[in-house]
Amino acid sequence: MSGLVRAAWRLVGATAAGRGRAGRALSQAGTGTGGGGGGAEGGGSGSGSREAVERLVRAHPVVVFMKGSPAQPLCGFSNAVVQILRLHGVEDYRAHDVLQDPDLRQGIKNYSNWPTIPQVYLNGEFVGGCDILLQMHQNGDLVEELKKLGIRSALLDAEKEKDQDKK
Amino acid sequence: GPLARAIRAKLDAALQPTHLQVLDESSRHGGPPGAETHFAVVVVSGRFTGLSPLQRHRLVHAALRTELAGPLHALAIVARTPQQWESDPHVPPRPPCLGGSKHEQRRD
Repeated sequence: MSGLVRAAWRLVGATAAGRGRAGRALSQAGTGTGGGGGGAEGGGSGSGSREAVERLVRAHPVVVFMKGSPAQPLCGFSNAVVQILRLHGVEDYRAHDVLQDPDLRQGIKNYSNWPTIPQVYLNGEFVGGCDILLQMHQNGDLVEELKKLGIRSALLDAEKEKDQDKK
Repeated sequence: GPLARAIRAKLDAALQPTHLQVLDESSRHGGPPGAETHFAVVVVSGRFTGLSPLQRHRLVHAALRTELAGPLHALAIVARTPQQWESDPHVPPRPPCLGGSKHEQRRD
């Protein structure tokens, strides 16, 4: 693993972990409710509520609910999602560790009506789990979907470099 | 095992697959062999025609709703039409386990 890649993961991990830590603090304070901090959700709705999840999936073009963090995935399927995104050069995304938040873990399954983790959301829309993301990666759909979000897949640049070398 | 049989029966009934593989992969995820917690299914069915991958997976989930609410902890799915399977009977390799189950505080 090159130092550059490791540094990129640390960056993603720091962003995601920072967000995750904030989320954890909120849900752990005050017996698992939204917590009293500024900007917390309204009464009765914890981190797994439809409103809370909606907010999370809309917060960024690429949002992933996984086990562990991008810096340290704790499940092979979650890691596969992280690796695929990394292949496409997508390092800036929101990652939520469901192992840290049981309410979120159940909430995200209710929200998407999907029984397993990881879950990938593009532009607020549920796209699927690891199997589907892998399929999209293999058949070129992921490059297209990223393009729609204004994200240029690194694989396109890799292709271009190859062609230029040939010339 | 019993869960594998239940999965097979439910998928047979719901999707009338022309090809069906039900694989207990629990031992690849830190469980003892035959633990029946993590499964992979390869489902080839004409019912998938015209459906997106998401829709296909949801059909599989719907057929296994009870199991997924219970002992079935993880489910890898390959869902193809008979035409797709004929032109590509290859199943992508499973990602290696990273011991996620060991980090569970409680089973979901």
